[in-house]
Amino acid sequence: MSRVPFVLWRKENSLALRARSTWFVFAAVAGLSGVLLVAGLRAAAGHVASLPVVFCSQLAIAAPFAVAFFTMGLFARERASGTLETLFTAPVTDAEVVLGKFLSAYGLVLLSLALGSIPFAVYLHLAAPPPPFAPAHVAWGAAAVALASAAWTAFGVLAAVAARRESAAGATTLAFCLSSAALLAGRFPGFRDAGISRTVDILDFARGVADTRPIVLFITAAAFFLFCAVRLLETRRWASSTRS
Amino acid sequence: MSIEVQQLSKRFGRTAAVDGATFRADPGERVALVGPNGAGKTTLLRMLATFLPPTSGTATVSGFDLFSQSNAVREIAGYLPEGSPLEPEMGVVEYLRFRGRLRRMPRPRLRRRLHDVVAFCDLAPLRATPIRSLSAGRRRAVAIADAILHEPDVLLFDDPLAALDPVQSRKIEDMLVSPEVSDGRVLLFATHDASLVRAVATRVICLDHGRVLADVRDPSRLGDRDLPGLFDAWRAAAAAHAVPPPAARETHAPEEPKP
Repeated sequence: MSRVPFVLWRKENSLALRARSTWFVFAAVAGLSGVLLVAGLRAAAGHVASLPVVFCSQLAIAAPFAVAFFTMGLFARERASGTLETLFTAPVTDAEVVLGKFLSAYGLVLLSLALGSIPFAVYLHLAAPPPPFAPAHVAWGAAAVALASAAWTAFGVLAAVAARRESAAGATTLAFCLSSAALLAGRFPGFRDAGISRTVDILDFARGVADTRPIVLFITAAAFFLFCAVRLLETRRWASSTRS
Repeated sequence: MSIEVQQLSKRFGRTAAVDGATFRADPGERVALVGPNGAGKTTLLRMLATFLPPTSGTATVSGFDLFSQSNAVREIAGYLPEGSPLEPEMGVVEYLRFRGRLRRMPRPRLRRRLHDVVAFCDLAPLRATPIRSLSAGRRRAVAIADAILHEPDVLLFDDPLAALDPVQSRKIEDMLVSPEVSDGRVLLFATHDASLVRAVATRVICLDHGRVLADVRDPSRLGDRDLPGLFDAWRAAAAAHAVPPPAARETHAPEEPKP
């Protein structure tokens, strides 16, 4: 297997972790998770059985913001600085570039989710008496959100290839991720207990329901979006060179 | 190790940026691409570097076809784009190491070449310095180090002296004529700088409106005339001839103007 995606992943992550904006987003995701956790706990009103669902809902709402931020500049920044020219005149394929960019953004999104779990850990530590819950449900739920984030990140990469401006890519990704999160959690009016949310519910894992359908959906969606991103990148490079 | 270009064209909509360019450059040649703004120099170099796909024509670099073997071309070509875009937040050696890994250079070879190019480009005191804090000349040196890092057969440099002061320009000129850069390789560089042409080039190709206007194999015959004056002379000479078809233009290039 080519090591180029990992070379790109390493470089992108190294640069991202040096940027103040990255740490600001980490802090914002952790803060947003804390606010959502408090709101969720109040709404749950002592239903301790729903604690993993509250935790995973909070992550599922915070993740799209991290996805949008870490994917929106993947190509626009390189286009603006001219480094896309040096990148594409090195012996790399479009697929390797897309995969490398995806890995770097996804790694940062996972790090954001890990930091977004801190408020929940603090709550568990401080709550007296400790609330009873199934740790396995929390772990499964978090894994489901991480898997959904892979599909969202792949969409973000596609939007980054398609959009000329960072802001357009970020807004499109955020809108897609938030709406799909709401859809998959059955939060849209008319979708609760009907349609897609009955077939695939992102929070089922947090309820202890092991279902392979969401796993298949998220992996398939991630692969599909990445495939589209590679094809679109090839088309864009061709189109940009024939435009007057 | 040669570059062979046959009837290469690039159209942007209705505009022909490069229009039937035909020439061949052999190892050891340092070919200056000159011409007014919009002549097609950058577009030609971008096509040869496989960044832009040609609209028509053929081109091979060291025998590899631009269309069907573009990755092989990228492996044996060193490209210095216009403006030398670099990663400003990375350190000098960190950036060069990244570029070497991107080119799949084996670790021992990369270590050796990093040492060599850093010494050659006089970047040793700046190994860990962020690129954003380097002067324009040093940045150009980093970009040249990147272009020669993998010991390419062919070097494609787009305006290597752009925005440099005379001292920095002199350093880059010295680099271009040094054996490390030019021995046994084809160096094709676009420039507006007549002194660079005189100091470095062993051959001059003049482009005008995407076409090869003149192909001068002995630049010493150019004398002291400035480039715009030479362009006018070449244009006049071309107009005096019957306009040949593009295929014949390279072999029947107008006579070189006398100094």
